Amino acid sequence: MNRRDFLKLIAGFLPAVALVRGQSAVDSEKSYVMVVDVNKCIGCGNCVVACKTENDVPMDFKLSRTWIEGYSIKEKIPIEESDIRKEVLSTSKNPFLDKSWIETTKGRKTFYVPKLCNHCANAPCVNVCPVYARFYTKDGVVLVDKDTCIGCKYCIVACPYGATFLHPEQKVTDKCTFCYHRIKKGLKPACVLACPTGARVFGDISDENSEVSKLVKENRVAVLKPEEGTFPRVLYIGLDSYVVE
Amino acid sequence: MKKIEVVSGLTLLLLILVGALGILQMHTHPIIPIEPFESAEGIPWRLLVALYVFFVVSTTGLCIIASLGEVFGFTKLEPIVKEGLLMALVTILVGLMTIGLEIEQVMRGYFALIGHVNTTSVMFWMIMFYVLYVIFLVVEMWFYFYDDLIKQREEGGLRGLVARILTIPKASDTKDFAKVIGFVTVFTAIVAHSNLGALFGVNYLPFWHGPLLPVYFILSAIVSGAALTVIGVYITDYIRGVKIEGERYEAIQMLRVILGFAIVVTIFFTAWKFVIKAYPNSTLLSRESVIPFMNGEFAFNFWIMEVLVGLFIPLILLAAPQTGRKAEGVFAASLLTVIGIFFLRIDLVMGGLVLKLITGMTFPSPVYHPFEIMATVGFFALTIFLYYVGYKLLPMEVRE
Repeated sequence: MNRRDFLKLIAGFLPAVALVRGQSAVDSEKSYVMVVDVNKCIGCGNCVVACKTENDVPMDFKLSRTWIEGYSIKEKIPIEESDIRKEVLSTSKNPFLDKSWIETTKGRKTFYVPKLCNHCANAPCVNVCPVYARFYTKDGVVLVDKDTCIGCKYCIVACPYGATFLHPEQKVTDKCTFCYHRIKKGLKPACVLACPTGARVFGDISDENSEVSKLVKENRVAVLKPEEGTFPRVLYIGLDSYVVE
Repeated sequence: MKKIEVVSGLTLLLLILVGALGILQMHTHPIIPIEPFESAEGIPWRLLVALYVFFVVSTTGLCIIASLGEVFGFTKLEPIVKEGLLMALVTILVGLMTIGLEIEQVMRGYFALIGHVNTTSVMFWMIMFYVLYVIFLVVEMWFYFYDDLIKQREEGGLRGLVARILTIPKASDTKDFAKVIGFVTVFTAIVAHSNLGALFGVNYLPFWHGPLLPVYFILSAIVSGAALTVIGVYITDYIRGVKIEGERYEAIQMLRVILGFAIVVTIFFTAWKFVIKAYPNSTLLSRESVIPFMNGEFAFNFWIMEVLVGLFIPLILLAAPQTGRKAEGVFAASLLTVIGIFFLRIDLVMGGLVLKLITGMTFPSPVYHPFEIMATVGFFALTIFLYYVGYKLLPMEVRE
C-alpha cells in the first residue's frame, strides 16, 4: 500500500472530506508545476513587481507573494561555519542594487533564489485551516477562499516556506495562486512573463511535450525542505545546499 | 456596598474601557506588521494568543482542581469548589472572547463551528471541545448551585430574581448529577486542552514540535489552576473581611501540597525539555531553537520570570514552614507562580515562532505593541469584574 492509497483509505472514513477535496490524480486533466532555474536568475526583481501589479499586493509593505533571496557565501569547512550573507528582495526597493551588497559579493559565491508558494501536494496550510478556506484545485493548485478565511493566521504559522502573509487591507491571508485567473485562460503567470532570462518556466507536467516536462527529464531538480513531506510543485534546477528553506 | 468595592469596580470598568479601545484600534489600523518570515520581523501569533493560552490553561486547571474536591473525593478541597467553578467559567468565557477578538475577521468567527469546518484541523477540534466544555461547565454549575439557589429565592432584589429565574426548571438529587456532569466536564476540559497542546506541534518548528507538549500543557494547567484557586479564595476572603481559618485554611494547605508537587514536576519537565532540544537532538535547528531562551531575546523572560519568579521562589515559599503554613505565604507563592506562567505563555507562543528564520537572518526581538498591552490589561480587568458580578449574583457564601 503506498501513501496515496493510504490517504484514500482514510478519506473513505471521512466522506465529507473526500467529497470536498477532490484531490486525486485520476480526475485531473492537468497538473501544474513551476520549474525555477536558479542558474538563470539575475535578481532583477521584475517578477516581484509584476506579481504585485497583477495581484493587488501592497507595494509599500514588505509583503510579497513571490520574492527573491540573494545569497553571498564565503565557504569554509565544516560547511556550517561558512560566512553567509542573505538579503531578501520583496519590495519595490531592490537591495541588490545597494553599494554594500555589491561590495560584499566580490570574491564570493553569489546567487539568487526566487521563492513563492510551493503549492504542496500535501499542504500543511490546507491541513490546519479550521474553516476550509484553503483548498486544492483539481489541477493541483492550492488556493485561498477569501470569503471564508477568518484570519486566525494558523496557516502562516504552519507553512514551512513562509509563503503566506496577512493582507493588511483585506484582513485575510494571501499567497501565490500561480495566477489562477490567468492560467485558466491559457495565459502564463505574471512572474513567468516578466522574467527576462526565462528562469521561471510554468506548465503542465502531465503533458509529455510541455517545456516543464522536458526540463524535468533533462535536469536534476530539487525541492525546498523535502524532509517536511510536503511534495512541492515548485521544482528548482541548480539549488545549492545553503538554501536550507 | 463598601467603599473599596465602589472604587475598585470603577477602576476595573475604566481598565475594561482601555482594553476595548485597544481591541478597536487593533482592528481599525493595521498595526502589526505580519509578513512572510523570510522577509521581515513579523510574528503572527502574539500577545493576545499567549493571553488566550493563559486563560484556557487556567480554566482547565481550575476545573481540575474543583473536580478534585467535587468529583474525586478530595474532601478537604470541598470548601473552595464554588470559587473554583466560578473562576473556571469566567476564565473560559474571557479566553474564548480573547481569541474571538484576536482573529482578523471577527464577524466570521462562527465559521469555525458551523458550516465550513475542516476535520483535519486541530484548531477546529480545539474550538469544538472548548464550546462543549462551556456547556458542560454551565450545566454542572447549575446542578451544583441548585440547592443554594432554592434558598436564595427568598431574598429580595437582583439576587432573588436571578435565583428565581435559574430555578424555574426543577431538579432533584442535584449533587449526584453535579458529580456525573463534573466528571464529563473535567474530561472534556483535558481533551480540549491537549488539543491545544497538539495545535502547537507544528512539524518544522523544533521548539514546539514534540509528542510531550500536550502532556506539558496539562501539567502546567494544574500549576496555574491550583495557584489561581488560592489567589481567588484569598482575595475574596480579604475583600469580605473574613479571616481564612478552619475548613478553608485546610483547603489552602491541600492546595499548597498540590501546587508544590506540580511545580517540582514542572521544573524537571522544563529542564529536560531544554536539554533534549539542545543536545541529544543534535540537528542545528533544534539547538538553535533554545538559544534565544538561554542568552537571547527571551533570556530575561525565561531565567528571571519563568524560572526564578515562576518556579523557584514559589517552591521555596511553599516548602518553608514559616511561610507555607500561613495563608499569606501560599498566596504570595501562588501570585508569583501565575506571573511566571503568564510569561511562560508568552515565551511558548512568541519564542517558538522567532525560530522560523534560519541561515543568515537575524531573530526578530519580541516587540509588544501598546494596543496589545491595552487589550491584555482590559481582558484581565474583565476577568476580575465578571468574577465579582458572578460572586454577587450566585449563592457563593454558605448561609446557615
